[in-house]
Amino acid sequence: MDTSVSTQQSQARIQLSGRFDFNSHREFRDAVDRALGSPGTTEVAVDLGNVAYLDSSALGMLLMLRDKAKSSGKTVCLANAKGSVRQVLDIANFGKLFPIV
Amino acid sequence: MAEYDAESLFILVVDDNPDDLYLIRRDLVALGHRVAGVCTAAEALDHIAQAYPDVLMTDVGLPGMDGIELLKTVRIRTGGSWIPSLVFTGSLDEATQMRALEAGADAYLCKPASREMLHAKLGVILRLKAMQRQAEARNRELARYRSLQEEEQRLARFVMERLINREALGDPEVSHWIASAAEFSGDLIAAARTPGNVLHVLLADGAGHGLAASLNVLPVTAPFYRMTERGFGIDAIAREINSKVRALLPVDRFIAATLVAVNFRERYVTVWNGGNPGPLLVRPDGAVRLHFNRHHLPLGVVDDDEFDGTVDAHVVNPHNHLLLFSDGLIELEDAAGQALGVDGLGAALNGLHAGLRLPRLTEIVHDLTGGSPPRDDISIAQIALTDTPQPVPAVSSGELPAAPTASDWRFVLRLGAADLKRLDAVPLVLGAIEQFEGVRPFAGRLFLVLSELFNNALDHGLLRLPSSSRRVSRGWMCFSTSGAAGLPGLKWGRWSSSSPCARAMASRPCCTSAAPIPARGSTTRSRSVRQARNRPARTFLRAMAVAFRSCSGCARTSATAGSAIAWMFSSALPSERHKSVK
Repeated sequence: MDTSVSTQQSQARIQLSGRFDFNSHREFRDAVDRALGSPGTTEVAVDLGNVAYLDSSALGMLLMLRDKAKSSGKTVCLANAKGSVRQVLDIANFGKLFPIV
Repeated sequence: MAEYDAESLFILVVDDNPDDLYLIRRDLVALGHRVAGVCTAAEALDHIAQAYPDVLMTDVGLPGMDGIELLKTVRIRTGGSWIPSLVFTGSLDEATQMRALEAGADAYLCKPASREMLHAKLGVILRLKAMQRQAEARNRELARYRSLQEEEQRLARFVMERLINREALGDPEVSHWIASAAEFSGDLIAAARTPGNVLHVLLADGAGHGLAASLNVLPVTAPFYRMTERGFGIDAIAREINSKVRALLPVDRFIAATLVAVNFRERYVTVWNGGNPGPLLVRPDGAVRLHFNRHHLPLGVVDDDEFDGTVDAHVVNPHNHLLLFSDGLIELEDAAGQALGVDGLGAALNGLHAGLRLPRLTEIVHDLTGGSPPRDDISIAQIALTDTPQPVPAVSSGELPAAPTASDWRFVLRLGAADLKRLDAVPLVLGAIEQFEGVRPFAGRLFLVLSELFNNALDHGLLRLPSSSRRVSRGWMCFSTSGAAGLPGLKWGRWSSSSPCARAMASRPCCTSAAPIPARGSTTRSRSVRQARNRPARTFLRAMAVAFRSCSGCARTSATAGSAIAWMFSSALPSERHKSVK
């Protein structure tokens, strides 16, 4: 999985591409640290538009991000999830935890 | 040049020319090595059979077996071990060099060679030998780790199997199949029956796979079995497991779980599903009749106050089956990367009768994975909705416990509105009276009797629900009550048959006042369905009361107008007590 982080005004955007699964722990953690660490950020958007596959470990990482963001008073939203990625989020009812935009 | 100076090697030299042998021996000894010299391949083989040299140096041209044949023979005879070898000849012939290297020579030397050249060539061999020693040491280390890990895994597997397969999934109505992505499965299937013979099935999928995922699902088994044994509903069980998982596991670990309760007697199922694909209701011909697609959050994600225990309830045809599965099944991809999906699964089942479905799904998994372990754990459980009658041990009057005379217990319990809203009363009471001598063997029947007495008192005594207050429509159980006053401060809401996916699936109508009455799972449902079928309740209750007396003692349940339910339990009916005192 590849990650990139960009910041626009108060939103940090984590762009993911490839397979978001149990092998992605380190990349995702680094991206999260960068996104939450950038000054003035109040919201983190995780862009899943280029993610081809997402497993339960990835859902766990999103929960971890939510927890970290919450403790520093920031919000998280998930963007551009489609196809099977969207289906996995729906089955886990993650719409209840994250705005899915 | 310096690195191996300190090392004295034992070198076997084979040369049929005594002069050459003398010179080489002299140079090697001068370089600090120990030397054994022989003239033929046969002598060399004898020597090697006694002790392996550190290095074998041989001339190519020898009488009888030549040097290159000697190398080949040594290689065969020493099996896996490697004796570094150096070939020397008087010729610079390339073909001979090739033959020597192909036969396994590690270095090649032309005679006459200077002492420096000899030293350098031995240096090459020594570096190879050092590398080999290093590799061997690493292999030994790896082998040690491996056996250590195998031992730990053996222990972990033993403990895990004991913890997880307590009942070994022996229920006759449940067939199942699990394929693990790793040595340990993060998927788990458990089944058990409540005292009222309601079948509970749990299919859990811990996040990730392997040992870590397997550890994740450990917290679910104990509450599942313990609470089922005591007759709690699946909503209460899901809530309890959610709290356990939340307390025990780190924030990024959770459990997708499907809990199903099958009430064979009343012919309905309830489903609580968090994070797994919804179960399928399958007709005898394999056609999918219904997809339970309400999705809760997986277990362990939210705190108890945010937990949603709403269950889907459905009246079922006993000839149908319920199919539960983890996401590993529908996420299986074909060669083109197309996932099987729920639709693909439905298509695969179509036309198959129950006995053929698991074998067919096993085949599909095998085809799609090419026989190698799947990427994610896969678990499938199929539940028959007809209960095969089990032989019930006959209880003759002679076997009745002597409790009415041996012990003389009695207790009274009174539950007010607040407790009735909060507590799953029947399992609690059953848990208490089970402790009395001679009661436990009758726990199942007792559970039924208590449920009926309790529900009757609650519905008709306390809430004053008329039996026409409920109807069954389109398979979904719907309540429609209006103005049924009773519990102070509570008004029952309306369950509309036009929104079967919403409130209708809760096991209890939602309250319009601030505090909703918690779902009471199977207990409550059994009443509803029984009445829906309009069975004469009084006859049934009378039969139940008789059954209860034959169990162990008696209970009286009464509802005081609009405020509380009182239970009186004793080891004998008042009239009998009176007689026995006489």
